[in-house]
Amino acid sequence: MFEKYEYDDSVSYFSISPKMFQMLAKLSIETNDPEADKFIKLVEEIESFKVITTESKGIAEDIQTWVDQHIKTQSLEELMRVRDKGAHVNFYVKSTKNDDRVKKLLMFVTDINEGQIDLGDRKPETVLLYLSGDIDLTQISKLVNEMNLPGGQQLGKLNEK
Amino acid sequence: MKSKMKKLLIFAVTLTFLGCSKTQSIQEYYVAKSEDPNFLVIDIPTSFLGINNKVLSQEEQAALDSFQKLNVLMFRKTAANATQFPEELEAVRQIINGEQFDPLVVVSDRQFSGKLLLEGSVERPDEIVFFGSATDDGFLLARLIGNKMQVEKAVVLAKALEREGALDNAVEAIGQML
Repeated sequence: MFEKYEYDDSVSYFSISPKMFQMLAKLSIETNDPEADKFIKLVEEIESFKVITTESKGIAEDIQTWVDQHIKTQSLEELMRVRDKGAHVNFYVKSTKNDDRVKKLLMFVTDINEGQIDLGDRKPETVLLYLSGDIDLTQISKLVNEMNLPGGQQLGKLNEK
Repeated sequence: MKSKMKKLLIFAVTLTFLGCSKTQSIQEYYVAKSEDPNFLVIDIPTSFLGINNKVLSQEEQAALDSFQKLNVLMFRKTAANATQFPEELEAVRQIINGEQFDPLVVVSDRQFSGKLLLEGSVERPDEIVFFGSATDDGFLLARLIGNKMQVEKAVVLAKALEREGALDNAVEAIGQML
């Protein structure tokens, strides 16, 4: 699904493979910054990371179809649903026994208004973020915030409760 | 009977050749394009860094030895070769999408796309390839070739290189080459 649109002009695509994460984990990077160390720890727990954004209506629909199917076949649960300035943000997870940790996180953003996400001259309509691994939700909200995507703040609040 | 055998043999040989030539290897592509004036080829052996072996610790030396050279192939897009560009782009994509390469990072946007790949195991890769292309400017294919490269030592090595001012040496050497 992600690879399909790799060379498509109306799509931005970014992916880090499990092998890259294995390699990063081996690099044993040391910093003296506790925030950065937390971030590295977070990275080491991720197995796969993919983001696809598109401004094409057709591809957006195709992504929607894929998400719907993926939720069914992988039996993902809806974590939450957010409306942020008109944009719909849905989070789906494959949960574990531990409330704070998930095996899979899907963030699906649709109906994004112009100017809501700053990506230069691009006007993305749909964003799909896919993460798998042993993921700490409390840390992920920070990542989403860093990336300037809508929904990050809400995801952070969810864990403060 | 003999001629039948001969025919069969020829058939078998042809088949083998066809099997081999179906996918061009990245090395073959490099060699083929090094004669093409539209391409720029740069070969940088790690010895180019001009590091005095005596100043490196054993660990650093072993890490350095596992990296052999950096190989860069560039295609600069001009008005004259604009028609060749899509062909070459497709050829490289075919090669790097081959089974021997595992993608590490993939970035793709309207103007730019980049891919980092690895050949061999994650612990000890034999080759790390970067392929970047820009619609308006051309593309760049860089290969870091080694022998069971000690990836985890890359950080150690980078520190040693910095300490010895190796990068300055390399830049100077490349400058002289051009």
